[in-house]
Amino acid sequence: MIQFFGKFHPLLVHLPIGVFIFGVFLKGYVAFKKQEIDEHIFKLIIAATMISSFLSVVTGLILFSGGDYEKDTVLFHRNMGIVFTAVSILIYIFNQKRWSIVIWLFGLVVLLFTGHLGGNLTHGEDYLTLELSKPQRKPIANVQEAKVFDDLVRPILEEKCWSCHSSKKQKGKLRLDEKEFILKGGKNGKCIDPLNSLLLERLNLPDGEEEHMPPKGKPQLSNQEKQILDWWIKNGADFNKKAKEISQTPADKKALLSFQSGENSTVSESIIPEKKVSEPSKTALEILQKAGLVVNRISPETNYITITVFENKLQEKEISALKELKKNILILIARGHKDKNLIAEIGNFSNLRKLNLAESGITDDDLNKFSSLAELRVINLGGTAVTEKGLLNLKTLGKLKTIFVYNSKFNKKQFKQLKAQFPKTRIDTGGYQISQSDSSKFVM
Amino acid sequence: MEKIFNEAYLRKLAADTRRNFLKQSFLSLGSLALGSLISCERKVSNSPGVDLSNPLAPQMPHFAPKAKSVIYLHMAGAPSQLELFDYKPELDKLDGQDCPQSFLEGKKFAFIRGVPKMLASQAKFRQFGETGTYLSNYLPHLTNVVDELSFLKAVTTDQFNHAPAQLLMQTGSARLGRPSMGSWVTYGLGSENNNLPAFVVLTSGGNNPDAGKSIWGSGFLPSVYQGVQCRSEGDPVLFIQDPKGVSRDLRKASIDAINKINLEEYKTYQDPEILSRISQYELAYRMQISVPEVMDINSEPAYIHELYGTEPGKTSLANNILLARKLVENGVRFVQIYDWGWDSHGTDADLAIDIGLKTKCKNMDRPVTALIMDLKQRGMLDDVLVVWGGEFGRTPMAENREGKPNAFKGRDHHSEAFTMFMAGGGVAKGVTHGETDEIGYSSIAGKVNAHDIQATILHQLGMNHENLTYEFQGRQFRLTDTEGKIIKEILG
Repeated sequence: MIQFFGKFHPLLVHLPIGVFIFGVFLKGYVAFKKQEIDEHIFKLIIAATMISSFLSVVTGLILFSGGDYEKDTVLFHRNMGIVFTAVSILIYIFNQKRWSIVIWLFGLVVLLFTGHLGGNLTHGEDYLTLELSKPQRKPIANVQEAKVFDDLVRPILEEKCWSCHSSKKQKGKLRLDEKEFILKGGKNGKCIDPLNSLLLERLNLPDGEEEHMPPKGKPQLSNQEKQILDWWIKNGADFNKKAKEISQTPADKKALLSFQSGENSTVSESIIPEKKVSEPSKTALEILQKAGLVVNRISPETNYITITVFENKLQEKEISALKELKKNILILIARGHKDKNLIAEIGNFSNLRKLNLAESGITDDDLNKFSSLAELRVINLGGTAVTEKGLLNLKTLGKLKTIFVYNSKFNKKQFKQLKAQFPKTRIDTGGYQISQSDSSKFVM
Repeated sequence: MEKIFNEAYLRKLAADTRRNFLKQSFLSLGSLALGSLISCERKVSNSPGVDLSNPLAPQMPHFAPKAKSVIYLHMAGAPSQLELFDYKPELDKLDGQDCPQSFLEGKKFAFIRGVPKMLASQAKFRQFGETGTYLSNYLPHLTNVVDELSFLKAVTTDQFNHAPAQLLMQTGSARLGRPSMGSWVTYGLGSENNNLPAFVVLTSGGNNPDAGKSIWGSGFLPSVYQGVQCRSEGDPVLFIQDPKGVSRDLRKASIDAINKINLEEYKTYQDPEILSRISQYELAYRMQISVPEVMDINSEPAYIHELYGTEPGKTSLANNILLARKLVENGVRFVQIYDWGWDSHGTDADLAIDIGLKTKCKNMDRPVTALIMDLKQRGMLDDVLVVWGGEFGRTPMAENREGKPNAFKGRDHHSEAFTMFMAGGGVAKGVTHGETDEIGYSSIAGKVNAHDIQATILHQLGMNHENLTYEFQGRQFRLTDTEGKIIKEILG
């Protein structure tokens, strides 16, 4: 029952802070403006500070007796809190002395420091500077050579678990920052037993469950991170082995790859660029819509637009509307569009990311003008007259991820030579065949 | 004291004449009427507003979408997960033994009575692809694309009869009257093609699904959002041809005349529904030209027919799947495919898990594989979400209708675990989410239900399932009702 009152500590601590700082302002105002203020007002403010800080100390002691906190930080926080209460009593007695401003300021320093320590206890020591010093994961060049605990597991624990389970705070009496503590587990038992790991159990509970970890509101583990922890623990939770020394299922391999820096990284980027553009011209949008094109903003939060053009020819009016929107166009779908007016214009759409020209009238010559599309990610040239020669125009586009050339005039014999020019781009020539799996290899 | 009050009360009653009553009534009844007048005013539904002159105009999604369109393959009748995807070696060991009481207590089955026998999987399994996913020899072709698929192995439902379970899967409610998923999607996003319906339904297998045509109905949404059923034999859409003796020009002239009269009508009465009617006439006329062209799979090259295993002119799942690709290629938003005949009870050879089910799989396996390959090579797989599933699962026990073993090997309806898969449309590749127990009886991890699947499909299309609402009977309705959690584990 008494523990219940401890829960009021986080609420009560804000009262002395607010009241006292108001007092400091008033004191400063009086000193600066050389004005007199009724001493009763000060007495009232200091009395309020005294009582509320006293209550904070008492509830704080109750909360502390419940455990779960790292002793050193709490003791420091506690002592400072008591000092502050004492200082407020001194102020009450000596406020009318000329030098009283000094104890006021001393009290302010003690108060702010106590508050800061308390903040560290609840939010974690790095809370204040989190944005400044987000734990930077060391880039891993070859994940199979990486040390499983030091390079993979530990950084995950550091980023997602340490704020409550490390030297500062030990919720559930669990610490996940050192090998010996991890092996020891928490008050509910061992956490990394390969056969019955409490850690995995808590991580895999549905989001809504009370025991789910990390708790609601804290940064959650990604699927890959969960997979890595699962793999590490179920294979015996070794602290020294390298990744390649532990057996891996294909799913593990995939998760591991996502920790590797560079080309293989599976982190998918958002379709909407970070760079902002101005609002698309309303009249231009209307002209295109009237002409039967499908024109829409990608979503309400962005000024980028997607345009679908059908087979009908565009007039001068529509082309100039497109010119006006050239910076806004992120996705252009002109499947089956044979007219050259539009195709000649595409090179100016400098923010274009997705371009579908399948079965359109595009030729190798038109691709000449595409070298300005530095943001292009995907281009579909399926069913067009485009050949490998024309595609060479695209090799300068560093962000291009995929080219589709199914059913085009692309000569598949030239594939190897062309691919060498596109180290980072997938060229999909299509023409997939279905093979039937060998039924004799099935097991019961 | 009390006396005084009583007296005052009686005096007041005595002073209340009929005239008094009428005077008061005038005010109170009048204000009642006023209140109902105000509240009856037409409320504009907040998201998204329906422009009745063009209800299928393309709409902006709630956030940047991953997928533009959906091909939903519903195997009506509920395919057996234990013969296709859910590999359970432990179940095979229990073959022929009595089902333990713990699986039967407090449970209800559609047909199983008394104590049934456990039934081993009739299929053989093997791991495939880089992901090492188990697939059975009933699906020898799907192995080609297994790494493109994302499996949900612990789908659950609370319905064990076909019609309500299908309704729940497709409309979010086991009872009639709600709009179908395709209707919600076209209501939310509109159509990108002015000449084709936005929501097309294709059926095969000899029957419509048990829940009837209402599972592609528009419920309380305006009827323009309902699914348009297209046939693979004869005219794809009924009455798409001009009547005998009526030329295309005459047809156009008569539609123009009707629209002119309607427009006059609109000018007089200002009823926006009239504008909607005009736009429907115009769409119908445009469809006369474009539908026969898109619906004609004969124009596809021979190697495509070989890939899909299609035979033009027949009503088959393969034909419908090829057609679905053509439709989404032409901007159709939602293609709903139903294939009937997956209800493997074991009451006859066609419904036996070792005979009829094999044939069903054979007819499904190749075209589904071809669809995923074909979408991929055309660069469309990123934009098109493919969903495959049934309405529930099947029991690990053999069905014993009326307490006696059935003539053939079969399984009863089962609501506690079944498998579905998704591909493309921004869904992760090669992921398996959810797990069943050792014999595939119940879901033990990663449980999802129909509302979760619906929420996920809407999410991939750029819509928040909680914000896609329509006001009806005084409250905002939505596809996922009060539930639905996006299945983040399978998102790319």
